[in-house]
Amino acid sequence: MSPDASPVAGENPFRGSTSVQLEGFGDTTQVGTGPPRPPIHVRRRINEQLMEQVQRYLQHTGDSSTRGRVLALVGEFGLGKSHLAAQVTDVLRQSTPTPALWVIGQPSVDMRSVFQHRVMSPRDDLEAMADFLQAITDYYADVTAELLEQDDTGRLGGARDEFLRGLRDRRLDPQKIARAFDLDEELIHSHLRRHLRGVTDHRAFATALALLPNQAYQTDIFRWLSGEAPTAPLQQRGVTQPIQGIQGVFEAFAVFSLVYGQSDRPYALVLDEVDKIDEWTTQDRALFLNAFEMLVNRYVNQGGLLVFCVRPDLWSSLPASLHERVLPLWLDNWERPATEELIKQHLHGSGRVPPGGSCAPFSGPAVGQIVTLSDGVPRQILRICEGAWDHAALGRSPKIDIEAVHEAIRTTHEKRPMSEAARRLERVLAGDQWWHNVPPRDLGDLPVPAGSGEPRWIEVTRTAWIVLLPVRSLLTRSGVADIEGFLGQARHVAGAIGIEMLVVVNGHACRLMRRQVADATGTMPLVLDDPRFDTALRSGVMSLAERLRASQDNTVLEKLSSRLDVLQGQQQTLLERVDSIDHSLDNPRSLSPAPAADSLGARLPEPVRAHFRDTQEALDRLLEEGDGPRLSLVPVARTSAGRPPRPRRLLVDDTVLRNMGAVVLARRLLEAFREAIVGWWEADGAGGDARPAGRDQGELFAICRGFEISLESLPRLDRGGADPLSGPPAPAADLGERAQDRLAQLADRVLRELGEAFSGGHAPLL
Amino acid sequence: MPYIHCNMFGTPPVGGEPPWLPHEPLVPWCIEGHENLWVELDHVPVAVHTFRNRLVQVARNITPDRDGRGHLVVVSGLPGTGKSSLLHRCVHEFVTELEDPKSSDRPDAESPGESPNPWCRREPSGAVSVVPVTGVRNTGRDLESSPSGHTEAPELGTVIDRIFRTVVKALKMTPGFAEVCGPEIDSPDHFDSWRALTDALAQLGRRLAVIIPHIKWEDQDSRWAFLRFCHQKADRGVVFFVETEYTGLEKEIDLIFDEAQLRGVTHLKTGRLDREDWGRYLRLWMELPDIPNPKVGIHDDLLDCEPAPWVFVSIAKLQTFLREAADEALQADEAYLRRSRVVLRFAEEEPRPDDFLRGDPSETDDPAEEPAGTAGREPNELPDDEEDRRDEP
Repeated sequence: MSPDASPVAGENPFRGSTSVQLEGFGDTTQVGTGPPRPPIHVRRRINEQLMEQVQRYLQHTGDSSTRGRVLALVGEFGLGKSHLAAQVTDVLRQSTPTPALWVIGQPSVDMRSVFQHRVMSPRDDLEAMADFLQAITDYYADVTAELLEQDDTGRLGGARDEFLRGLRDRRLDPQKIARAFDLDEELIHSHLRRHLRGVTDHRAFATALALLPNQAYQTDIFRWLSGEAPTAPLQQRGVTQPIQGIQGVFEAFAVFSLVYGQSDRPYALVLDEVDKIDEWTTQDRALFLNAFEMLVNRYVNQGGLLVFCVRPDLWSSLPASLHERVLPLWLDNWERPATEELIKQHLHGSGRVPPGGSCAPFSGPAVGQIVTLSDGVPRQILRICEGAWDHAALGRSPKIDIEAVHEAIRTTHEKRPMSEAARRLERVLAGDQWWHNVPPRDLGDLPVPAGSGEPRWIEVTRTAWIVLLPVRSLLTRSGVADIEGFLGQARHVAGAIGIEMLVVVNGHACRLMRRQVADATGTMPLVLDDPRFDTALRSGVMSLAERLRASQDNTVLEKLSSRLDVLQGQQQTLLERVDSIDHSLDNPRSLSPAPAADSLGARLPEPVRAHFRDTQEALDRLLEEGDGPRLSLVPVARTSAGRPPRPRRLLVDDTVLRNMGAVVLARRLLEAFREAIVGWWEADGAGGDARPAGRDQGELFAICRGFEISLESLPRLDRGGADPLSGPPAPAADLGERAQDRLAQLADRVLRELGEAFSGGHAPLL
Repeated sequence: MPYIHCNMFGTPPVGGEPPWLPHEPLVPWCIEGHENLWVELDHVPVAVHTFRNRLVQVARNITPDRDGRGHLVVVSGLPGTGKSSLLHRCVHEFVTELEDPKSSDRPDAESPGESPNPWCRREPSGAVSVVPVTGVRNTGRDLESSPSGHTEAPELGTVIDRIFRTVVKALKMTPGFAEVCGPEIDSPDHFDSWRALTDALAQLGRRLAVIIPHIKWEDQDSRWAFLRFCHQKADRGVVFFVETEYTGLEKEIDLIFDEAQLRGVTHLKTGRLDREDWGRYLRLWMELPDIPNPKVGIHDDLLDCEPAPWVFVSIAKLQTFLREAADEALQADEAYLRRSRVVLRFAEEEPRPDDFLRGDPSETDDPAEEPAGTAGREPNELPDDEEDRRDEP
């Protein structure tokens, strides 16, 4: 190619059919005068796996019953299942000896016509016919050998054993022997028929095949085996029906497999588009699956090769017994190197040689976009490439860039105008009465992303809406951002109203873009071109509505539940307080006069005296200050003349009551602590100067720990953990904080100071 | 190997002119003297005696009257074992039995055995019309051929139709038959046609013997249906002589017919030869007068020969073997067929597996490549006029 010529000119190298049709008949005749396009195969792991299986089948030596294998090519549309299947048929047709090969492009309810007109029959080529006759001759030889073995007339002469061996080794011609040695051919025939009945497990086939060695019947039988109606002589002998129906045709294939399998010849059946059965009635499907399973068993057991193409949905719904016998080969999405290879091979095929191993004229980013936007589906890759090439050629652009790729996708996928998309939405939604909702206030004139259609609002409840937004092909991140922006704005404007969004793509959306939209909106976008769009839209709207309703219910319930929790907490505190007051009344303090605080304070060991004092002071201050605003009983000012001043009624808030109680309890706890420490200090009975030999350090620890855990059970004085319903902080907050601080550290300090004094070292830390 | 103008170990045609051909059945009811070529092989007398015994019992009832009975004779045996000869022998005995001077009204009837002019055509019997459906060689190929001559699969309806038409055509040539038979004889309905036929036979006081070849039915139902058809039509003086190569018939015959029907059926079997048959067969030919030249004598030492067992498989094999040995001796210009030559041939003709290798399936069978030991096959070298003559005895 000359450097000045535009690289994007001439015939589009990507033009052509992107779907492969399997051919039932091997035809190598070249059509037309031009050079044939070389077949394009991108070698990937799956190709190698498949070809390895096929080669292993063809090169199998030894017992033919271990040769059989059934392969399923499982993958979504456009991943190249048929392409691989066609490759298999090519390999089989080119291998020697040529195996018998049946290819069914797609199964049909009218299997007879497929069998009769579109599948290779033994009549179609002499070799197949001869193969078939040879196979039957093998059985004939076995039966003849069996009869001759029982014959004691000595008709075979001295070489009897050699004759028998020759027949069983398929070297000798049983018919020649039968005629030369005057054998009872009728008897051989009846034995052969019985034998074949056992082999094929089918009466009509046994009858027909047993007649095959007789030339008079050959034409009739080959016609019947090709799907035609049986002739009168065959009907008279019990072959009354043509090979028809799903069951009948699969039985025929099973019998063919037996004929070839037992005579050790390779044979293969390639079945494309098994998914067609999804459209059949349940009965036909069941028939097909039963017959197919039987065939699979036969192929596995009789040394055949069966390859079929199926989509993942159907594959997973196939019975487990099939899964056990079939080796599935999963087709995956293509990654960048394979995509590049595909593009390069097409460029090569049209005589263009891209420089330096690149994909020129496709730019690097453009290839990247093709990889992303095609989801790695080769059929999509080729379509995008074709469109991008056309676009670039039209604009006389020297290279194919991202814009051309995007334009190609828009051209291919955006044939439907937005108004039509809206009509489609209306048609689906009106059926379920989801259509006639006016947008909520303030949201009707929300600006939509560029190129999008009019959003449709669906009212689920007064405060819950679903918005359907039809958009163009999602090609870039910015397209997703626009959608996200629209939703964000809608939610902002709507305030408390719950909004869920469903994006409907009128065009193309690759997997990556769909995922991005899902991340942004919480819902998976729907593609209008999807054959299951109607159902998906309907069920999408239904489930979003459910979700909205459920979330609203949840909000109310949560509020109720938290309120109940608070009430319960308050009630509990009150009860405890009443209990403690009760207890105080029953056990007045005078009955067991506690030592005065001062005297106790003086009896405290020197190192901790200051700590206790500080804490006591802080608590006293807090008690004096009280919680809440200062109380006042100054009467309410008169409002009009002649009216006496109104007494003020002071209401005590639960919280205040609780806080005050907490202070009182804290003081009592402190007193108990002091008393216990004094008790521990004086346990010896001696003065503070004595060496504290009798004192137990463990006891000190237990006292301090006891104080600490008891303190934890009290409400905090600083309201650090105060409940959120208790309103703004009171002025006494800093006092409370100080007291809480002192209390919290007291045990620690006491333990440390006394521990040091006691042992001259550190006491164990709490 | 082309046959020399040899007359040993063959069947003399009408007139006794050479060549005497092998693989031809003996037809004593048609050709004078054929009964003298009959060798009482080991198994044959049993069959013939069975036939005679059965026939004597029923013969009186085999009459063309309204109440008359018929009979079905089935001969089964492997190819080459002499089924056709046995069948023709039975026909001959049947004809002879009915032509007994005591009961025959034919003034010029000859007593059997007194045949001053051997190999001449026997006068048609006045009591029995004999119709060999496919000629005296009794091969089924004619019944299984399409009008253009191709072999086609035998179909019951077609075969029966052909038998009807052949019998009617043959009977119409019988003197006086055309005058007495009604127009229904050409009816497409076989029932009417057959009734018209038997009515006419009754008026003429004649019996009918129909000889039917082996048909390769390759189907049990068809075989049974055909035998039942033959049995059903074997009525009012009609006797069907049916040949079959199917050796399993012995086990099936009790299932095909019930006990009452079996009274009207005689089943005969042919089989392999016995060691003594070698001497019997050779002695017959040693003593046979008037064999046209060229011929070789049979040396006495041949009688002491220990033959290979494979020649005893059937009479046809034995005949072919001796015939070829005699041909060889003639070519070597020897006056006698001696033991040494025969023993040498035993070694040469021993069946060899390599002669039966499977060929390319697409190549057609060439009869010239068939091994020399092949027996039971009709050489296709008979001149057309010769064949025609044989088919119309």
